[in-house]
Amino acid sequence: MPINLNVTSAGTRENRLGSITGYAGDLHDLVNQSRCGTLKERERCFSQSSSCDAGCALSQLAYIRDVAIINHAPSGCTAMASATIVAHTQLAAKRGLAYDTIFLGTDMDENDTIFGATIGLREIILETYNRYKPNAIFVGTSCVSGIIGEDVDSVINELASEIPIPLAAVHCEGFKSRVWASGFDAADHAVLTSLVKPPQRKTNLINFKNFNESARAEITELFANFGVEPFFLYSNSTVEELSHIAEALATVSICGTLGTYLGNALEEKYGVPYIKTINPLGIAGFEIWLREIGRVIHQETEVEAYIEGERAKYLPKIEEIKKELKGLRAVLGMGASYAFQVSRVLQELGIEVVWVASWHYDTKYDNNEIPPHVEYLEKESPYNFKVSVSDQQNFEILNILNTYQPDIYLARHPGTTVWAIKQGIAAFFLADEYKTFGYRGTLDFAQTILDTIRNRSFEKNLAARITLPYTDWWYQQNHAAFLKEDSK
Amino acid sequence: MPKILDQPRYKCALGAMQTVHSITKALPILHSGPGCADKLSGSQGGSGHFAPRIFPCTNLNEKDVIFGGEEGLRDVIANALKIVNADLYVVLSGCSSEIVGDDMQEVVRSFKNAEKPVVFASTAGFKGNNFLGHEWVIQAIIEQYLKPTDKKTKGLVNIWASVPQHDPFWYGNLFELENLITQLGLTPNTIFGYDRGIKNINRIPEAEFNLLVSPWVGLSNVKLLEEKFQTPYLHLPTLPIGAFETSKFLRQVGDFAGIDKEKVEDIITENEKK
Repeated sequence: MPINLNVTSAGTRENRLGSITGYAGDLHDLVNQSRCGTLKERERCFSQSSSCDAGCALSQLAYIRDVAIINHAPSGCTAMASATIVAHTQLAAKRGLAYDTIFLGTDMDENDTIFGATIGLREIILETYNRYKPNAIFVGTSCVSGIIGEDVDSVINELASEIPIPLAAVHCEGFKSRVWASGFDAADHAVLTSLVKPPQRKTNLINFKNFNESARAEITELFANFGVEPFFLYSNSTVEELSHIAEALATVSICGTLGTYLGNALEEKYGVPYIKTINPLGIAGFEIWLREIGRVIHQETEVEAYIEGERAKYLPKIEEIKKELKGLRAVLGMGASYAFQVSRVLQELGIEVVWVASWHYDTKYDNNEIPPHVEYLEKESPYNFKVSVSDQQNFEILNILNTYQPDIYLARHPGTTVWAIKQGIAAFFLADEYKTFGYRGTLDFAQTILDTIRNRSFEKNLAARITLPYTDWWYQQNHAAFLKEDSK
Repeated sequence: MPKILDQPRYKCALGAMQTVHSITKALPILHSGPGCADKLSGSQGGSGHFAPRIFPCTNLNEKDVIFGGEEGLRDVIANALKIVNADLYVVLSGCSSEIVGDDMQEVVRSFKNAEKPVVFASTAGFKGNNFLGHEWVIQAIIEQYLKPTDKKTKGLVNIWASVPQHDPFWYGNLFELENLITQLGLTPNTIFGYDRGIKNINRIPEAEFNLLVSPWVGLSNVKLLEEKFQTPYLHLPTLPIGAFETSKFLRQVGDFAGIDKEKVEDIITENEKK
């Protein structure tokens, strides 16, 4: 299904990209089934609390620093407001910027579920504009607003003539998608349809889609070698800046899951090239990615010279540390892009990838191609490995860890590594999306793995004193025992 | 004035999952959307024997919203009983399951002969905030789990105070209330916090009286306990903070428990000297 910017909703990844959250098999089977179109969702008859697309969509938009987000939902859905605002205020403070975004809710109650709440919503949008004068207002939908059939689009349309700033509905009803990454697309869709203007000129900026821009200085320096500048989004961006992203030279993303919608939409609609290679994690990822950027901005020679210089500087050090990592075995639990990309980096470091748990899996991306990182692994991985798709189902992860007893468990989401450690397995929470970025990141990552596994007394001591949340019975079952055989 | 929720200080009723979480080895089972626990846990303690990422949840999707999620809930409860090592299972509803009209009471009732107790509290987010949700969870435990008893333990006092975890000082407050009660020669019984759990819940009906230290949260619960077990209650709306309030607290509790006035005054004098 192609991207359609003439409607108000991005649709779900299940519908657009054939995405799934339940699967058990291996890498080769996954790629084959993706090609044949036979990959099917396997539902669970036991599951643990996951995340929803609304949380993803609204926290993405809250990265912008001069907007208002109105969550048309009961109070619990807006419980995320304080943590979101605090985190983003700190990101802005790191760069000495003002963060003026506000995160509000409509506090839907029982009355609203019976009589509807669009009149109240209209008043809240007007009051928000008058009270805070944001530069754009995004109205998020929720399970409740979706089920009772609130016509948020009409409210937005009617107010467009009364409020002189961009207004957009963000369609992210939590029940609509099991894939929380659908929320990334909902946020992108709102930005594309309400903020982005047709290009007037070309800038020398490259749109850089990421989360927390922790490598801003490093990437600015890197891009300066080629006469271009990165524009990081959405962290610390403004409405005015975002209105110009169609004027950029190209779009890149640190994560395939995060970038597919915005990158492909900007390419389809405005001809801004989207760099669709594997992402710049590890050595191969970085080189393939940078060469493609070089090709697009016509800086091939400069890129080759840069790569040569960096290789000379870092590869000997990486080769040295690889000796100490040899023989280690790892299990990963990460989002659909990072899970496979970090597996590739681990293989580059000579660590055996025993199991990859992907929080969801996209059968294809918005350009209709199979995600490049799984195709790369299918060709380059020296061995096939086990893969499961599981929306952060800890019971499956802990079962797998118990069966395979790896040296390290790596995860990119909070709330999962702690349980591996309680089970006695060294674990690392890869919170920084640039942890494995380029040569510097690869070396740094290798060192972190060594630091994590060298002294395992904490894990041993803790595990000896903990009663685990799962029964012994569960540890004797197969990890996929609760995946239903045939679904849909 | 528009009903605008700006800088929220409360969450929805499903926020009561933190009340269940604060009872050692009690497990919330959520019949809700996939993101509810994630969003509600942003500002609460995330670990212990369980954590929000361990809570079983039906993660309702579009299909469940259209066709109903009762069978999914039945599966999740039945399997939670096998997989998760808990003493008490508390099924909580979210907005979606309530609006589409799933009969959760009936599903939960079908587990009345299960090896471990399973109770149900209706905590749809649109029905109220987490203060009410807290009361509804305690009410569910009283109504569906506690059994009447003839046994009364002299001096046993159930202590109820603020909403666990939502009040960042809840644990310290409970410790100090227990300490003061113990000084009066009474035996405190609280259900929240480390190593209290089901064994303390089981003692609730034996208590001589219930002590509620809270402006209003929990009042309906102690009234229900009085109705069900004829246990009287003492409601003190303010926490004993500072010497004046603490002395007043000791006198009020001492008076209610029929403790010798001289003994209470001795305790107060001794504490004030310290």
